[in-house]
Parts: sequence; C-alpha cells; structure tokens
Amino acid sequence: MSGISQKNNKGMTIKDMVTTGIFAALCFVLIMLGGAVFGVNPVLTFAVPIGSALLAGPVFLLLIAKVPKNGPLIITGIVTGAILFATGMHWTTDIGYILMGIVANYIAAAGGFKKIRLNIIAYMVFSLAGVGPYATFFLARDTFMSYMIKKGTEQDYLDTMTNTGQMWMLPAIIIGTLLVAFISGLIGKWLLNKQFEKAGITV
Amino acid sequence: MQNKKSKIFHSDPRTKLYILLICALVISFSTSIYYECGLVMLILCFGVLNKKMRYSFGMAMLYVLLVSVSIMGALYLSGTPRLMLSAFTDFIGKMFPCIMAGGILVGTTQVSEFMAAMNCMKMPKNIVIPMTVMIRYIPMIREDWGYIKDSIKMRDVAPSLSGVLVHPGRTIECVYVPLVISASKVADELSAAAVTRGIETDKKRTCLEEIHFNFFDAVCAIVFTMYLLGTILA
Repeated sequence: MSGISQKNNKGMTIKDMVTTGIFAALCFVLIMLGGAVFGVNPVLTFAVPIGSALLAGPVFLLLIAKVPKNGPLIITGIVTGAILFATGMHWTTDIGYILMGIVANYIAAAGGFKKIRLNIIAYMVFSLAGVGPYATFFLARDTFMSYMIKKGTEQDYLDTMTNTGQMWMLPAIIIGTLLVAFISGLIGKWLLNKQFEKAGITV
Repeated sequence: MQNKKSKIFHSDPRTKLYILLICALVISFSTSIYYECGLVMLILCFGVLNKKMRYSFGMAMLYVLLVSVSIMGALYLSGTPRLMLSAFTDFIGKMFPCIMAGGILVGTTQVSEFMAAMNCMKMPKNIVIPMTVMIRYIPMIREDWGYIKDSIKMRDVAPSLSGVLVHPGRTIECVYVPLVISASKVADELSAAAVTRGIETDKKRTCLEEIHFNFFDAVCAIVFTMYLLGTILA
C-alpha cells in the first residue's frame, strides 16, 4: 500500500487519514458504549469517565501504532468532541476531548510514537476528557446546578447526584479513570504484542 | 438523474449541518420538555420534506413512546425506580432530537455531496476525510459486530459479561481482534478506492452532484433559527 500515496499533506497520507477516521469511529463507539452503561443512573453517573476509559484502549494504541505521526490523535479528539457536541453532551466534555487529544498527541510524540509506555500515558490523559463535567460539578457547584436545571434535568436526579458526590469523589474519579485507562492500555499492549504485530497490521 | 421538481425539497448538506448545530443549541438552552417536543416536531417535518417518511415517523413515534413512559413513570412510580426511570428517559430524551437530525443527515446525504459541502466550507482535508469516513463507518460497526458475535458463539465463547469474567483473555481477544482487523482491512480498501478516484490532487474538487442553497434551505434555516431564538428568550 505504501506505493499508492506519495503526496503528503502535513505528513499525513490519504491512507493515514482514512485509517484515522475508521479508528476514531471505533474509539468513539467504544467510549460511548462504556459510558452509556453508567450514565443513566444518578448514583453511578460519576463512573461514566471510568466506564468510558475501559474499552477504547486497544483501539487507541493500535491507531498510534498504525499512524505514528503528529495528527491522528488531534483529529480523533476534534471529531469525537464535535460528534459528542452534536449529541447534546455537556460542553466541557467536548472541549475536553479536543484539548486532551492535543495533549495526548504531544505526549506520544515525545517518544516518537514508538514508546508503548508513553502511548499508554497518552491514552490515560485522553480518557481524562470525560472528567470535565464532574470537575465543574465539584469546583463550581452552583454554576453547574443552574446549568443543568436550565437544561431541564430533573431535580431529583441532581439531588441524588449531590448526595453521592462528596468532595473526595473528584480525586477518586480521576484516579479511577487513570487506573482503568491504564488497565485498558495494558490489555492493548498485550493484544498488540500477541496478535496485531504478528498479523502485520501495525505498519 | 433527478429532475428539477424533485430537487425543490432537496436540502444542501450545509443546511443539515446547521440544523444539527441548532438542535444541539436548543437542547442546551431548553428549559422544559415542551421545547424538545416542539423541536422533534420540526425535525419530523424536515425529515418528511426530505423524503425520509418512514424513518422520521418511526423516530417520532419512538419519541412519543419515550415521553409517555416518562409521564406514566412520574404519575405511578415513586422513590428509586421513579428516579431511575426519569434519569433514563431524561438521558435519552436529551440526545434524541440530535440523533434524529443526525440520522436524517446521514440517511439523505451522499458521501460525495457531503465532501463537496465540506470543501465549500473550506475545511482542511485533514478533518474532512476522517470525518466523512467516520460518518460512513459507524453504522458498519454495528453490522460487523453482529457477524462477530455469531462467529464467537460458534467457537463457544460467550460475548457477554459472564464470558469476560470466566475467560477474560480469550473473550477479549475474540472481540477485539476481528473488530480491529476488519477495521484495518476496510481502511486499506477505502483508501485505495479514494486514491483511485483522485482524492489526492491539488486541483479544486468537482462534483457531479452540484450543491447550492435554494429557497427551501433558506426557509429551513430561518424556521430553525427562529425556534432557537424563541427557546433562548423564553
């Protein structure tokens, strides 16, 4: 395939862009799937970022392995953020994915996209994007409440959220998300070594 | 080729994107479920005019069902079950209008048309191509997943939570490996197809499907904008 696309567009070939699109789609679906399990329950709603971090790790790492360049992670962040905005998520999540996509890109770039440890850290940082709404919930509770009430969220839901959400929850969410993302990354590393490199996908 | 008459209600992809944006904004600003119901009605009209009869009415019926379930729940349930139900209907209800509008966008827009629209908006290629691919690929994931599930079952691995708990390694492998390998096959094929069609040229892209705004687009844009303003001011 390498012969087909010679023309570079800021270092990314057409094949890279198509690959990015497809893997971003997979990432997006897995993130939504992991999060949706928890999102509908006010007690478990704090676990959404943790759930979102669980599934996408292997796909994310494989994307880095397939397109080891500046760009794919940023694009994944932007596209995920845009689609999440279109489905009516809290705006900090959308901004979060775009920012974290950029940060993750530079973390992975520090190791030349080859160091699996840095790539896993990049994925952990990327997963933190989902924490945005909860950070606003804890750090600026009143603003968050009035925003959500304006959005028409039911008072009971928010009450339960407030009761469950004590101050120690925020670090717990962050640490939990990082931990789960790390596990997901390890699974990804294991799959990469065991399956994908042998199959010659990671070129 | 479509004749002139059937084109009257064929809206530009840019209009559909604009409507999607408006939907997201209305949801952010709406203060009660009435605005959302109104929005769904508007999207229903839009979908019907775009000849997505069955899809639009189906989704509208689903929404009516959802709203009635939430009303019934508020009337007859109490305590935790009520909270769970209302949280669930709320969560889905918030996303529903956007998903419906998004479905109409994807269902009525040709890939070439979408790319032409994105090019008209002067979006960089780095975003346009992944975005287009993504929109086309998301429905395929579900299809793939159906096949993968069948084959997994044939190998006596359960693609479920219990399967993950009993044989974690094997189940994870059996789910991810085919999913990712089929994804990367599709990526190879799609990029070969795209390169064959000359996606790499520096010349300005032309498109058989000419896109331009017409009277219908203007009406839609004005109606939806008015609705947004109404929601904000109310």
